[in-house]
Amino acid sequence: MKEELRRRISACQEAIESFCAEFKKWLGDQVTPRDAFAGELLLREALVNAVEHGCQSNRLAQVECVVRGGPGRLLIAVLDPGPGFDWRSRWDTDPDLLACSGRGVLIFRTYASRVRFNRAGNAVMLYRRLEKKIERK
Amino acid sequence: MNTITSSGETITLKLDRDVVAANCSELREQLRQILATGSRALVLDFSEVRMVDSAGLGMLIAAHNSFSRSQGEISVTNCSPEILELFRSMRLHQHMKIEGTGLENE
Repeated sequence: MKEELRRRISACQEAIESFCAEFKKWLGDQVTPRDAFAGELLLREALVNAVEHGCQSNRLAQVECVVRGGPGRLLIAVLDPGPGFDWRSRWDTDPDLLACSGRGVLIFRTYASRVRFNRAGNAVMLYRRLEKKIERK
Repeated sequence: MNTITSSGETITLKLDRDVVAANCSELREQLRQILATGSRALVLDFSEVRMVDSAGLGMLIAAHNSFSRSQGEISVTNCSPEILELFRSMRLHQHMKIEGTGLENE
């Protein structure tokens, strides 16, 4: 994978799907299936939050996304133009088992090695330590 | 296109795409139509599903809740190891039967 993939996308589902496809291509087969799944899931959650909450699904709004790979690590950063997400009040709260929404932060906590929001809450940085890929002979 | 087969009182829906936000409204409508048939047992075949996001998880829970209210149940089969791990970490397995492909440990 190249070092960095940076795009500015429209705030809509089609753009999310297109960027996720590009992300999978960028990752290639250089990470384990588990890391590939985790990376895509983290990216999707960050993008859906940015599009639906940050941009209120206004297709004219734009979301900035950067994914960066390095030795043994993956960074995903997503910035939206919205007022920000109150992550502090949600961080330690697990959703009710039968709730139909509210699992985004739980997914961040489960799949990212480190999560950082900016002060406003409209930018998130997700780090994941990657497993060592063992080639099968 | 998702494929529906039925055997006795069990309906099997084989999904041909990922269970993510972009596909949820179409799948939600399909599940609503299956529930309306009076079916009480629905098997979701995930053999071609590679990704489930939080919107997809929410939709599965909503479907589970609807089927439960009608004394029905949903199960998910042929999950990839990664989806199986997601379902377990989100504790979906406490409410519905979740099965892998049987190849998880290979």
